[in-house]
Amino acid sequence: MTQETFNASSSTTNTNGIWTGPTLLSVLEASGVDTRDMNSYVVISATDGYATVLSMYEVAHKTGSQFDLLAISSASGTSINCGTTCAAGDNGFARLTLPNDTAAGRWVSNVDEIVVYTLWPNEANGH
Amino acid sequence: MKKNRGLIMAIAALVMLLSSSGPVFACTVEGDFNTPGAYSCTAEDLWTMLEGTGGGISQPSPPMNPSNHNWREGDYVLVTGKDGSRALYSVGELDTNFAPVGTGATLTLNKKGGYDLAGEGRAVKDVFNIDVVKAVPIGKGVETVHPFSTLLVVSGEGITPQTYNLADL
Repeated sequence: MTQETFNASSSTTNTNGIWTGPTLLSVLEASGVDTRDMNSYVVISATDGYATVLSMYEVAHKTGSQFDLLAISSASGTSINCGTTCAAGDNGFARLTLPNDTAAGRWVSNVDEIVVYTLWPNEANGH
Repeated sequence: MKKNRGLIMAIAALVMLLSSSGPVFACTVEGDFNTPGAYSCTAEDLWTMLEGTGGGISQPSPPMNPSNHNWREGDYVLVTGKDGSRALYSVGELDTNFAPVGTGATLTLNKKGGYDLAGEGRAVKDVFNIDVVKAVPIGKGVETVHPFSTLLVVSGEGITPQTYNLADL
């Protein structure tokens, strides 16, 4: 997939640096997801049970000049794509990086599952 | 006794005044709040309104680091208009702990006397319901077994699940 780079210069210390990988948008499109449906949301989960929710709008639109990335490499020294040498604190093979989240709280290391949910057309609310 | 009652009423009125910085309108806000219930909407910045409703969006105990990881990241907000139009926001894009700039999503009076939502590419006319929905429980490190990821699966309604490894990405 086409690789993009994100320089997270305003994030927290364990996320600062240059991250590279495909956009989350391109991964969803490659999977056949209708990324034009703004009544849908995306749950990104990690192997440790952590997860975050993104609206399809924020997946499909840039923050500044940057889309959300599924980073698979880092030029900051933060371990990612560590294979058999992974140690505590590593990021597995892919880490969700969000330019809109400078607290990096919604960044997800060790991504292993992405599920797209679509609201029914006549669903009055989320219940 | 009468003095106390009067004082309590005055304090209650003051609290209501301070907690509602915009006009109340015919709209219900409900869902995943610390104190569940059906509340009235107020015409102001959407995040400010949600923070001032029902004790704020649910933050179960024990709390996670509220400025970095918190339970609200598993929620989304659905705003619905009388014509059926909807706008969906993740709580994370509204919450200024995560997105310092926020979305600018604001409820404002329209020419017909209703209240419209506009902000960050989404709009709803004549808003009548705002629902905060817990989409997924957040639990960093909750799972006892958490190997490092080597692949991921993308799935969803209407699509065939796709598996990606490093080479695929």
